[in-house]
This record gives sequence, C-alpha cells and structure tokens, in this order.
Amino acid sequence: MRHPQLSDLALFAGGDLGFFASLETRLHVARCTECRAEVERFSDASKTLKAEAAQLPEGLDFDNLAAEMRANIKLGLEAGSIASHVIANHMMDAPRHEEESFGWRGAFVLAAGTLVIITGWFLHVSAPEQTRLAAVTPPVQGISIEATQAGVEVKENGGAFALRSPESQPVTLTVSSEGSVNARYVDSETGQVTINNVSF
Amino acid sequence: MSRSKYICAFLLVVGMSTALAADDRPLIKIQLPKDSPVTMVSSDLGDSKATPRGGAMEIELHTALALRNSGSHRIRGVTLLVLAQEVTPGGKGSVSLPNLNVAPGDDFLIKIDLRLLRPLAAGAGPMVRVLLDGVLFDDLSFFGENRLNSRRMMTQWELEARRDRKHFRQVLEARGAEGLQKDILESMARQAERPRVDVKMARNSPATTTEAGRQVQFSFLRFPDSPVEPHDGMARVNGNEARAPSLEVLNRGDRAVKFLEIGWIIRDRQGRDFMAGTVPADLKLAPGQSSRVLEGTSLQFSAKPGQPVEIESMFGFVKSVEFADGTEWIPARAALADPRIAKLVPVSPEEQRLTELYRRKGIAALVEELKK
Repeated sequence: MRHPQLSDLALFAGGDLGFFASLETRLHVARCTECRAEVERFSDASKTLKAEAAQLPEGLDFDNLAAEMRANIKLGLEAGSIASHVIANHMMDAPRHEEESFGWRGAFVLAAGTLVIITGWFLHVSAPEQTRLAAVTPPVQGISIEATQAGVEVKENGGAFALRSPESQPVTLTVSSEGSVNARYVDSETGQVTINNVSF
Repeated sequence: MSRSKYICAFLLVVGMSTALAADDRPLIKIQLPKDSPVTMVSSDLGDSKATPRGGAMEIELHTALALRNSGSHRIRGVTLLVLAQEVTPGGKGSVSLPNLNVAPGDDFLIKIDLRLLRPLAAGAGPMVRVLLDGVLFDDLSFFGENRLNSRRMMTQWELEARRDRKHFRQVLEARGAEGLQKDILESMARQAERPRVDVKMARNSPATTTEAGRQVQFSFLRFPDSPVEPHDGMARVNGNEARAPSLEVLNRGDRAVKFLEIGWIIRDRQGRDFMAGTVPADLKLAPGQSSRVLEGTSLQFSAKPGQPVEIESMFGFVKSVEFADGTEWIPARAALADPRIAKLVPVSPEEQRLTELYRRKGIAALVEELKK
C-alpha cells in the first residue's frame, strides 16, 4: 500500500489539505491504521499547541500581529525601493544640489516607513495587559464566544466585544448551546444581581 | 509634486494616525422608546478610555445609567440590549437586572462595563448602542421588543425568585433566624464548592476529520413532575470538545410546549462533574408527542486557561419548560436537591442575591428583606 506523505497527513489533520487531496487521504486513512494513528497524533499535537498558545501574553493575537508585521515590512520595502529608484534617476539627470535634496528625501521616506513599523510594533506589544479574555485559536466561521470568570466575550473577524465582570466578585457562568453565555454576579455597590450575556 | 513626495506625505499621515489614534466619535448612544416605562435620569461614562493597540483600538467603557420607573407597576426585571455592530456584526450583548423591586417613581442603577477591540478604520456613528429589550413587571406582564427573548428569561428568573423566597420564608417560620442562618450558610458553601469551568463556543464548521472523536450518549436524571421527559441523546466528543448535541424529548403532560431547556452535566476522566450548560430548543410539542432537539454548536471546556476538561460521559435533566400559553415550569427545590446535581447546578439569581446580602449585612438584614 502506498502511504501519503507525512506533510500531507499533517495538513489533513488540520483540515488544510485541498479538496481532492483531502478526499484521497481520507479514503486512505479510513483503511490504514498506521496513517490514522499518525493523523490522530497530529490532531493531539495541534490541541496541545493551542492549549499552550493560550498561555501567551493575554490580548496578544499572534495571527494579527504576524499579518501586521508582514504588511509593515512590505510597506517599508516598497517605500525604500521607490526612494532608491527616484534617487538613482536624479543622480543621473539632475544637477548637484538636486541630488543632495533627493538624498535627504529618500532618507526621510525610509525613516517614515521605519517609524510606521516601530510604532505599530511598539503599540501592539507594549499595551498593558488588562484582561485574561484571550483566545489565540482562530474562531470557527469567523465568530466565537468565550466565557471566563473575567467576563463574556464575542470575537469576530479581528474585532472583539466583551462585557466584563468585577474581579472582586464571584461570578456564575451559564452557557446555552444555541450560542449564548451568561456571567452573573452581585454588584457590590447596589446589591443587585447583574447578568451579562453575549450571543451570536 | 513628484511621486516620492506623495508617498512621503502618505507615510507620514499613516504614521501619525497610527501613533496618535485619536478618535472623537461618540462612544455610546442610549436609545429608549418614547413609550418606555423606564426613563433616563442620568448617565456617567466614568473612567472610560481608549488605547491604541497596533492596528486596532481598545476601548474600555464603564457606564452607569440611572433609570426611573416612570410606569404604574413595580418593576421586577430590566434587560438592555448592547450592540457594537461595527465591531462584531454577528454578535450581540445584553445586561439584565433580575429580581428588582422598583416602585413607580423610584430610580435604580444599571452598570455596563465593556471592552471593545476594533480596527482603527471606523465609521461615523456611535461605537456602542444601548437599547431597551424588555421590562418585566410584578404581575409578570412585559414591555419591550424582546429581541433577545428576555421575557422568557426574566419570567424564569422571577419564578425561581418566588420559589426560593418562599423556601427561605418557610425555613424562617419553621426554624427561626438560626435555622435560616444555617440554611443560608449551606447555600454559600454549595456556591463556593461548585466546580467552575470556562467555555469557548463556536458555530460548527463542516467536519474535516470525521474520524476524530466519538459519539457519547446522554444519561438522564428524571424529575417526577417534569412535563417533558428526555429519553435519548448524544453529542460528538473529542477531548475537551463537545459538538452538535442532540436530544429526543417527549411531552408527557397535557399542555402544548413551545420551549424547553435541558441541563447538561459533563464528567471528566478523573470523575469530576461540571455543569456544562443548557441545551435549549424552540419547538411545538403537543401532548404525547416526541421531538428531536438539535444544536449546531461546538463547546470547549477548560478548568483554567490551558487546562482542558477531557469529557468522559454526560447526563442531562429538564431545567425549564415554557408552555404554548406563555406560562413556565421550573423544577422544585426538592428536585434540585438530588445529590447528583445539588452541588453542580447554579443557585438562582435571587438565592445568590440573598446569600450576598447575608454575607454583607448579616441575618437581621436578610430577615428584613424576606419580610418585604
């Protein structure tokens, strides 16, 4: 029996294999205990990774961070490339004082690009950690809900909306499988029960 | 102007806007209907703040709304709908105050503590809209749009409150303040010992690895007076994830049922039980009829962040039923005292409030409260 490559099994376990390759692999895995065990090992490893990822600094969405870094780097490189092109043209065509002028502008363009990258990075990673409502795993179909003692939260396409519970009060969480979660606590000031809910 | 100058200016604008990330949009808009039985007395945004975080803005909003009962009935509960549609168009939130006792003309406070994480590119409208979803009165009549089914929820909380207040009053009459104190202390111990579990929920996606996981059957705890009986159920379980629970239920009463909730308990591999949540269902169930309840969500459970609860088995019980005429059934306290669920099912909001009142102000304040 010809077995799929290990990399294909890994992609299959994560649901990242293409349609036809996935179909072929699925048929094989259904018959082959060895490959099925391999797929299960990949699935388990993925779960462990997700669990450990949950312990990353709270509020840190690594996917967003990576995408942002890539975009900033690309922007900086493009700006640098354009600036170099302009400088090169002027070195050939322009008089001496123009060369100096564009050299300064090129440096300024590069500096601005660098400023964008550094500012974006600094603001993202240095923001105060204010919540433990963190979910690193991407939500299924773009929207997910999370309930912890700190509050209830709905996440969608990079945005998040959370109703917070006071840290000093015990919180009772209740979940409804139709897609909603409640966090219930007694407000220390009013003595009233407050029930926060998010749903999709 | 040459192209390089345009690019230079563009980069400067982007850099400055990212760095400053100032936003003068209104944070919140509160909208109450013209004929609302509650009116706004004042609103306080407290120490609300906005913090840029890379390509996004984090907004913390601590709002306290003072509302007045401008109607003619006592108010028992209020639910506000909280929307941040620009941030999470598919999601919504609500803040409810159950078990109120607000006389006509009296004021009450409702607090909304929320956090938003939204992209810097923003529209022109307010970031958060607060609307009145419903008000429940002491005669169980209701006012509001009821977009969140808040009528059903607030009625259920009110019925639970009446049941539990009656119980504590009976304890007070039969065993005096000392007996009441003992009962409240037992309740506090149950609340403190109740195992807590964090939950993450998502809509189910098409299965990518159908081999993963196993079907786990529900077993059931049956209450003698329950109008509905669950008799078959299962969910697909994989590690700490349970997907697509489905249950078969029979209406064994003589009244048509339009909604029910099944309480859902999970047991992990160490034999620890947790209240996972409820499986609700809108249905039309005539007397003697059976129906299957299906939910298309997946739930992941963890005792703490990074500590998944590995699901071994599950059982369920009927938590509430709504009849076609809008009246509701909830289990009696005696049924909830069953040792299999007594330490798992959360106490009612009213019992939570009464125990907190005792904890803060003592037995005399609690006795006074029960006399109201």
